[in-house]
Amino acid sequence: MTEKKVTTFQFYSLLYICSVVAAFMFVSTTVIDLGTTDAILFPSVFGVLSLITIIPTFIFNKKSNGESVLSAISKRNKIFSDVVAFFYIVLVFILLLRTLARLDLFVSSEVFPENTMTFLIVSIVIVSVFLSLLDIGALSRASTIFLIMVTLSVSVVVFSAFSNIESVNIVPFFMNGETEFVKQAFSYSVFFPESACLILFLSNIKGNIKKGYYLYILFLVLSLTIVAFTVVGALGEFSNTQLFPAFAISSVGEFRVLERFESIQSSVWTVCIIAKTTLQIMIISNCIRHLFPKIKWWTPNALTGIIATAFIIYISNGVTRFSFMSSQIWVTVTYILLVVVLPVISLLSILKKKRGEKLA
Amino acid sequence: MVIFMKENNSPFINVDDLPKSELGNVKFYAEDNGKIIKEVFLNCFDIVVKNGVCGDRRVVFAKCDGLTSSEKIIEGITKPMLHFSGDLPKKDVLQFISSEIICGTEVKTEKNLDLAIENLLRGCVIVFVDGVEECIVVGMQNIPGRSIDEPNYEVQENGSREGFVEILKTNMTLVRKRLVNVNFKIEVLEVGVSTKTKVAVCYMNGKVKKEVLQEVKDRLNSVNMDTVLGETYLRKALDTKRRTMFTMVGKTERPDTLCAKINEGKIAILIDGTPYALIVPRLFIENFQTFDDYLNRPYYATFMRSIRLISFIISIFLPGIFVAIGLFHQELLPEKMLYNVVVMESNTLFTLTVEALIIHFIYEIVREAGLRVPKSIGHAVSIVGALVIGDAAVTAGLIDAPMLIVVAMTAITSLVETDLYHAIAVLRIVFIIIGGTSGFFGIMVGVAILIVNLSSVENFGVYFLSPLAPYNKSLFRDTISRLSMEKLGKNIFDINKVGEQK
Amino acid sequence: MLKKITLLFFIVVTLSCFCSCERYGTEIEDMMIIQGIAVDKDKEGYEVTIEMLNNKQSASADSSNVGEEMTLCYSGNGETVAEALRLIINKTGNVPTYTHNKVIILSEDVAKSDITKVLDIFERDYTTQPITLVCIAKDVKAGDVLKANIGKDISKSEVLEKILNQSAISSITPETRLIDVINTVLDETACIALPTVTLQKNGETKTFFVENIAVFNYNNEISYYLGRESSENFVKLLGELKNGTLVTEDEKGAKATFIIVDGKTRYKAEVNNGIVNYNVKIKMYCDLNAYEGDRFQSIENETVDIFKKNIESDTERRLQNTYKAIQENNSFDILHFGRRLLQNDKNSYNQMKNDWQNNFKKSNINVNVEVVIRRIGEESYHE
Repeated sequence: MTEKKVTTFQFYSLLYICSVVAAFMFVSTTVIDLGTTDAILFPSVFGVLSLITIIPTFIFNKKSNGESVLSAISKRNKIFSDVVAFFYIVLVFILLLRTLARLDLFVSSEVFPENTMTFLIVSIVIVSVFLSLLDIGALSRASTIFLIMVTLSVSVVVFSAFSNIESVNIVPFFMNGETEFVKQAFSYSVFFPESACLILFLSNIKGNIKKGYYLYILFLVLSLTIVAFTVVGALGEFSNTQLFPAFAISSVGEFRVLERFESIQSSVWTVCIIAKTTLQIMIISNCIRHLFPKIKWWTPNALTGIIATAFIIYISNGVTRFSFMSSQIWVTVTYILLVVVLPVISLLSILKKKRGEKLA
Repeated sequence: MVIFMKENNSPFINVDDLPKSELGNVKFYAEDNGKIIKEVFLNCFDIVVKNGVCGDRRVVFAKCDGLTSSEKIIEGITKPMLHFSGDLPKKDVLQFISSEIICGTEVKTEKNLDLAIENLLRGCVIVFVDGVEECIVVGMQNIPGRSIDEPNYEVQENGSREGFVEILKTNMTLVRKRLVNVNFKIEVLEVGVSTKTKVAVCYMNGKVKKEVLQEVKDRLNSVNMDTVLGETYLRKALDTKRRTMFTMVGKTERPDTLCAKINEGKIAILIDGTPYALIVPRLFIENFQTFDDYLNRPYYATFMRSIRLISFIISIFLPGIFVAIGLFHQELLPEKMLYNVVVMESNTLFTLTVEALIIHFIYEIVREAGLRVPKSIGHAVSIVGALVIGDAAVTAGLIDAPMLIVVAMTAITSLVETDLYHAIAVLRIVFIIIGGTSGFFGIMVGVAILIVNLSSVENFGVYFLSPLAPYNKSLFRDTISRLSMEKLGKNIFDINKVGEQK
Repeated sequence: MLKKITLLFFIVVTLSCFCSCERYGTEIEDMMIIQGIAVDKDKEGYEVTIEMLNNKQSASADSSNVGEEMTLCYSGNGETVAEALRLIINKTGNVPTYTHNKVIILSEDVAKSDITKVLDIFERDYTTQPITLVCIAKDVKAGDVLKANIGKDISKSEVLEKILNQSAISSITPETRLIDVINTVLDETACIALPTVTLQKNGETKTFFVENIAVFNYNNEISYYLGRESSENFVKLLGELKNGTLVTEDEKGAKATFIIVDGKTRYKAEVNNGIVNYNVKIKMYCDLNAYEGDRFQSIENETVDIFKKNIESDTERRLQNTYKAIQENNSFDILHFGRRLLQNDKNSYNQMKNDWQNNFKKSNINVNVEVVIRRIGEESYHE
């Protein structure tokens, strides 16, 4: 068992910055209507959903005595653990591609319009591969500092846009009916599959995992709600015309010292994206190492980076490929598999084996 | 290897080729010993060997001129010995001489001639007596050195005016007189094959983890260097093994600062011949703290620490951010400012990035020149710098005034943390290049690398960024903010608690 | 291996810096920092005029170039606005940036057809701020507004922006940012109302004058104008009352001017027998600014009460009249009253929204104005 290096606070701050960036850069208005008041309630639904879907992970943690999913299963069934690892590789790779695709779209339409971003995306991948070679501890500790930056930037956005909130934009809840609300809230929630990482790093975390998770969800839901409220109040229907609605708040807000501060915002999100890709590359390469234990220590990370870059250059050259990457069906399937199916299967496998041991 | 001329007839002995303890034990006849010393120190003007008689035996004195006090030797050793007219006992003659004849506080006997010679070089007087294969080593040092002076580089508003000097013993005294505590320990090691520099490891027993202390000693002992002439020689061994631009070894020339650090559970290393002491482990946050902070009121200390942190950030990022704004993010600037910048910028020759790089290189060159030249020429350098960079370059259209303000700001802010200057100077250039290539986007990628790198740095079980990352609430009270002494008194900063989480 | 990769990466970055520093960025002096954009119709398409900062003007300390203007105007023609904007590069040689654009001025010709076609580029382009102000040039070419000679070393767009902002604060015209226009267009029951700007002679130079409001129909085409008084009443009904002035009389006919310090508007919508009844409650906090009584005479408490009652009844009457005028003139809902109904009664709104123009025409309003006189400039109590 590896040494427990990361405290719950550090680990959940990493998850937090990975999640909150999705609200600004991932949630697309193709399916979800962010202009109506319902959007303010979406984060709460996501919170409830996260509390339900995490139950298998908590039970797993108890039964496996704090061991991570792959090593716990492999002690009982090596082949099955390989299968699980393979699924994790595929699913997290899809997440990685989506992260990079969104970053590409973001940078090329908001930060440096009218430019191809291949060079910068490649450098992001290289940096992430380099950082993923360090342990999860370094990244988690760094995220506590990133957390300060993110919190500051979110607060600045929200406060600056608060004076622009208009009463006309606030309409009654459930405008389009309750079923539509539930559907949209679910579509919103699936953009945040970060809680699936927990089961993979159980052995690295020291501290009260449950309490930390509840606080993490509470803090996340709170900040997402505030952001959603600002989007609805300050932008209204306008948000549905925007590529990155939550990001557009910063262009409405007024900030005395600087004329505009979107670029500062976008650079903070860049840091979050780096943390996110690093975490994803770390997960993928850990799983590859589980499949092939004799592989050189840096090879999986580099390999992941190279393949991801190749994919992303392909995706970058057509707008339809972007929409395919962030299409709702894909997002939903990966979310369900990662957050629900894989933890449940893993839990069942160790429970079954335990029962078998008892009977024997 | 043969030493004596009698057998070899060669007048020269290559001392460098001599392995340790080649000379063996002290010889039976005092004159032989005297000859050996003369041979070993051939062409050494400062080694004095003198023959004499004490009672019924011939004696030989050897000393290193300049390191010893002549009057003390005459009064304490030569006069009483040469004037001794009685009979020396047959047995325990050395004990008799050292207790009955010689007047000195540091007297011991030595069998090994090599060790005796080593003591000779440290300022002791060696007395050889006929018929005894041992010698007397008397401490009569009078090593020349600077008197205790005000520290040059760690200037403080308040507090003590004493600074370390080059003599280890004086430095140890300066610390000891402040820490009247039985738990304060000083262990002395020797490093450097040729220089045999004495290194004192100071710590507070009970506040230092045993493993950490042992690791410090192990690392010091493992220093495989010929010469150790300054604190920097040992820095590499004590520093973190991670690749980073920042150091986890602190340096101070103030005894009061050192005592405070020792009291926090850190380990100090005093090195003979240098007025600086090393302290391990050093945290990132310590770069922004001074001893003055504890002598001022807490609100002011907090304010000054924040100012230092902000200056550090400005000194690294400001030129890069300015270049990035000029090339990529013009929308950030308010209109009037943008208009002024645009108007001035349109008069210059170079692009913004090149301009920033050129002027920073010029600044570094001027700084380096000002640092190395004698003080009398220093003014000339600063005048040239001020005129050339400040005025002529702008008039000639090489650079523009806003860039000049940026450089002046960075230059001044980088002087706030002298300890971090090396990292600042290089990072600044790196961020100018990144900012000029890819704007804030690139700068933030750089920041991410920097922060992750900093948080991965670890030395003696302590993370560089603690108590921020890993966060420790109780220790955080004395980082950027400082609470009042009463509040801190209950919970004094303890380096061993840094890694622990509540 | 890792070392080599790092080294290689570093070399690539450094080389790319020195060889193609400005690959993505643009030197600040090569930018066309646009201050204002005016769009006119021409035979083939659009004529776009921009006002940009004069980059080539040297620092003010240099006396040789004193005569140069702070801003320059350029025009370009094209089939679309975007094309015309692009063609201006051929005249300036600078790269356009819309980040500091303050106003978008549309001519009447342009506003006669769907203005969303013109505004689309500004919605889609990231660099344009959504808080850019939009206005209509009345009786004058939009380009002429930007080219007008209003004095030396002045950015015309900046002046126009200030006027528009100030008149919104004084509750003369509504605040019309790009985002408001877009939100109104997206709201199927609401119509756009934009302030107009005209040029007035002022000796040799000219001045801007913002007074009226242009009302658009449901196809986002200009329909008619509201006069000055109606505009002020419209702003009050819209709920954007901030500051402003009011003039009233006492029983002897002496005029008193009040400053509105703050105002609050509340809406309530009820549906009875398929007719919407609006209850609008406006609370105004006023200070007495000037009173044309005899010889600086002091004001009795009774007079204050008279002022209060006069203002209340007068404002109520005016607002009701304006509402009726808007209803009678094709009943384009520039007041966002459809949205107000939605906030109060979701179901009725869903039933009515498809035929909102008709329903709005049938609706009734009951305005209730409450005035609080805070200060009168002296002690209010006299023996």
